[in-house]
Amino acid sequence: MKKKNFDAGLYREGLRQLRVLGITMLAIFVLASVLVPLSDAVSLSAYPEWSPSYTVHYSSYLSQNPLILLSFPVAAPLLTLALFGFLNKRNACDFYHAIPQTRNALFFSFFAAIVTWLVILIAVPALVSEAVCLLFPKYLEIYPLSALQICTQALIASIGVAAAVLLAMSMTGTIFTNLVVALLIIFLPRVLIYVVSSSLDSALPYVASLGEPALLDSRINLITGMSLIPFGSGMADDIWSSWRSGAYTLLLGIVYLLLARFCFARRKSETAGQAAVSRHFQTVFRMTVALVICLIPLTDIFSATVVHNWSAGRIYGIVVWYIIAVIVYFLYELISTRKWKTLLRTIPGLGLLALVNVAILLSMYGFYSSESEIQPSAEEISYVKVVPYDGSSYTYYSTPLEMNVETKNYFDEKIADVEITNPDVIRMVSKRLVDTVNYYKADDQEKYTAYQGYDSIDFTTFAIQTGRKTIYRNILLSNSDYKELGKALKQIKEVQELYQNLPEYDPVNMSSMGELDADSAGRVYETLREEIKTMEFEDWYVLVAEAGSGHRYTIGSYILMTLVWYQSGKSYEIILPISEQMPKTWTCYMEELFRAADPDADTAMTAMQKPDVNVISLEINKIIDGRWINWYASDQTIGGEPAMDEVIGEDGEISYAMNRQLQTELTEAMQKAKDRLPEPGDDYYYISWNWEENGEFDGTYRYFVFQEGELPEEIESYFDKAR
Amino acid sequence: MIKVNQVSKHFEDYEALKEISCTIPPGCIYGMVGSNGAGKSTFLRLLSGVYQADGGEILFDGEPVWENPGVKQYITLVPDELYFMGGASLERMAALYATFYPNFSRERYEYLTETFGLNPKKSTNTFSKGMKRQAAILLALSAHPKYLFLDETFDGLDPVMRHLVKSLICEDVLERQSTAIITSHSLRELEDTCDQLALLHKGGLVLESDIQNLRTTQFKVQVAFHETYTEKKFAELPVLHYSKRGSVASLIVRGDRDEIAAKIAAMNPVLMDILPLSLEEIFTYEMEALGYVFDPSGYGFAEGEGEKK
Repeated sequence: MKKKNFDAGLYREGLRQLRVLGITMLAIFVLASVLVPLSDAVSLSAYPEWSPSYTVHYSSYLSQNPLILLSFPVAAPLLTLALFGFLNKRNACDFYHAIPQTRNALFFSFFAAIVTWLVILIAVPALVSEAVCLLFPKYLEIYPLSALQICTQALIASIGVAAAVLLAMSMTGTIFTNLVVALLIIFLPRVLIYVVSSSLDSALPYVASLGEPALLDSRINLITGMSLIPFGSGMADDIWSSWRSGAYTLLLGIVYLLLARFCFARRKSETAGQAAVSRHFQTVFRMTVALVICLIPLTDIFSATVVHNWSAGRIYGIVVWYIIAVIVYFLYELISTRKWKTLLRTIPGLGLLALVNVAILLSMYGFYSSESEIQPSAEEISYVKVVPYDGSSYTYYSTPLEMNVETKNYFDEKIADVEITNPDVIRMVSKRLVDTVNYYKADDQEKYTAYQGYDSIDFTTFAIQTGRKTIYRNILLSNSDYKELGKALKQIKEVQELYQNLPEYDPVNMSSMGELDADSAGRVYETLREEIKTMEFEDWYVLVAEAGSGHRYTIGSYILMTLVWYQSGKSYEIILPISEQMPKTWTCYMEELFRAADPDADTAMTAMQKPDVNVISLEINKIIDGRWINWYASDQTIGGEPAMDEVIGEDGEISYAMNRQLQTELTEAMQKAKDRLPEPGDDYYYISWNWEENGEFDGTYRYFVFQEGELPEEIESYFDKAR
Repeated sequence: MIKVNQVSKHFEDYEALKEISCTIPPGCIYGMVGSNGAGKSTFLRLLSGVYQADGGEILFDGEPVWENPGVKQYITLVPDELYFMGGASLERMAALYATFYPNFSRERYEYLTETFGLNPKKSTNTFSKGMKRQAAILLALSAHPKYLFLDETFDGLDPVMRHLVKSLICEDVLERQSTAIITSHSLRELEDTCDQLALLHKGGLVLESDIQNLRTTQFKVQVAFHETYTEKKFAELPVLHYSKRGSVASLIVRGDRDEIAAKIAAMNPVLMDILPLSLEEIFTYEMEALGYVFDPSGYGFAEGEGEKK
């Protein structure tokens, strides 16, 4: 009889054995996939279409079907524990090992059954959820690409967890040890990396993580990435929409599966019901569990050593944590074996654990020392590049093609490709690197002289090329260092071309993130592109620098136009200031903006003049000193002056409507201003309002340029006070 | 044929089997007896391919059993601790067996189910201990195995069922030349069923013999003489055990019955009776001859001061 690696009979048997559990979970998941979008549709249907609270619900697939997130932490381990649970019982284990099948066939056939159920548990609710959304197109949208991606990622993560649990079960023999070891397999490497790298990052703030391999990024692992979100590993959408994370997690799952198969084939049937398949394994697991606790005092020792910050309290804390680790060490043995007598035998293992602690500590300290000693002289540096700051955050946008795209600032990213060979800059970078390292090593940073006397110091990340090696460092620069750097950058032709030669408008790969639609944004963008070529580079450079950094405008008021642009697999955010220094662009922008207002606004303004029309809410917005200032007239009278009167309806019901005189005055002002466009530097207003006419509700919005004295006094004085 | 050659098995620090060697011919009902912890169940699990031997080899018609579905499809094991899938009925278990064992016979299964009086649609969780054992036996027999291994199978069976099971086993062996290995800690259980018997003690195969041969070559002789005599009088005879009460001596002798009777008759005894031995007695005296002393406090043998012959 030929030895098989898969048996259809065993596979069917596996499916059958998981039937009850699978169907129960399927029922719960399908119910959730119906109820969540249905409840969205029901709550949206309560709002009239004009209401700001009513929007077509643009729902990411994750918010539409949140229970899919339970596939990998709940469904996968439950299915695996259920089907391979025979490994924990002697009689069951003997039964399965007696049947005329190879261990390979048993392993892969049963695992295939688990994967089949996972596919069902993920795909069926997804289809049901999308079907519910299709039934309510008025309220709900579907996002099939996102759904496909999320479902695929969920399946990958689930397979990974199932394989990890199976690996644990192949090395242990009780439910308790199955779960503990599975958690160790899944989380310990990431926790170790996270804790050690966090500790090193704190000790080495000047070492940028940009040069680190992608493996160290906790978001790369779908399973642990999601679990570490509360500790700051990134947004859920960011992790789950990354195909790179999916590929890595799949690879990890395959590694787990192969290891599990290896252990399963060698596993002795008689070890069922024992804590681990051998004493050596039991020792390793016990030590590893205790090591997790040891990480706390370990990193504390490292930190205290590096910053010379030992104190009695700290020492006490470290001792207490190690005592806890020892207790956990013995407790694990006791709970897993349920034998007191073996505790004595485990004592030598503590020595080994201590050695592991020392080894980790020495490795951390070795890394710390070697990194902090890398301080190339100016002569050793070929060039430097200014890269986006290591600690900067990314912006996330949703675009028609993809949910939650991570975008980076266009100018920062492109400048990062520019090699700066200016000797003054190189000397400055070399010197400031030494200063930065010494600053952090100093016992009293405030007294460190290299940075005394400056208004502020801030980090800038540099890529420093020495020979064939590139190192990435966050270097503290003073404001005069920045000026020098800025001066040097401005002299580089590539930088000038970068700023003054923006890419051509690409309607397919560029998206406008503001009020303008694609065509309007394209027209404004092209106007800007041409106009900046005629500007002084210095002026344009400063405008862009202040727009991108969020600083206040420098010349009059300006507004921003933001585009998201895909190029060569990357996404860029281009933030462009539109200042009155750019009159053509300003005028073009304002024309497009005003034209983009609601076409029914004019009709609405006329309606406002009717006596039976009640304005039930109104909002006036204006930019003052770079901020939007808002004036409200609503039944909650939020901000602004109360401008609402009580209106008693025919049935005695009380409602609120805008003060009639104020409404009249405002309407008159709006009528006068409706055809005006702002000149560069003019203030403009955005007004939105909702009204009721004979029981029917509606709303609209529009831009206006008012002249002095045109607005009702109470509104004008409100904005005057806000200056 | 099953060939076991120098097979050893240990669990951590404990050596369960020590270099066991034996040959079990086809069409044989092989009984294995031993005290608790002797290694009987371990031996059967090794033969079934559940455990892997740490030393030696186990061959079925020249082929190893470990990870060999081609051999295992002809083996069924009824272990001491039974297992049925959670909540499964007998019908469901039969479907599972039919998947794994190519010789599984639906007709035999239905016949045996009726014979044993079990409800195939009921969950095995509702069966009593005895019924579960019956269910396990009938499933094993329905697979028409070439090799049937039964580990302390008769525990929990009433005498009627015991007799029925024994006859079914004998029927299989006779009709299809299958081989059965039955383990028990009771010789009486195996006495009337087995062709060969082996005794396991502390992981070692202490004694193995054909039952018929044992019965015919060992017997008790009660003899008395006028004159005073001692054990030396019988020095030329193959005596396993000598005891004397008054003037009557009891000899446990191994050898040709007629020849030994003639020799004793030539000594002119006043009394000479030749009596058959029970299997238990045979084993007891054989063990003593091997140097093991019967420990009456629990059934078992310990190494003692007996002379090994």
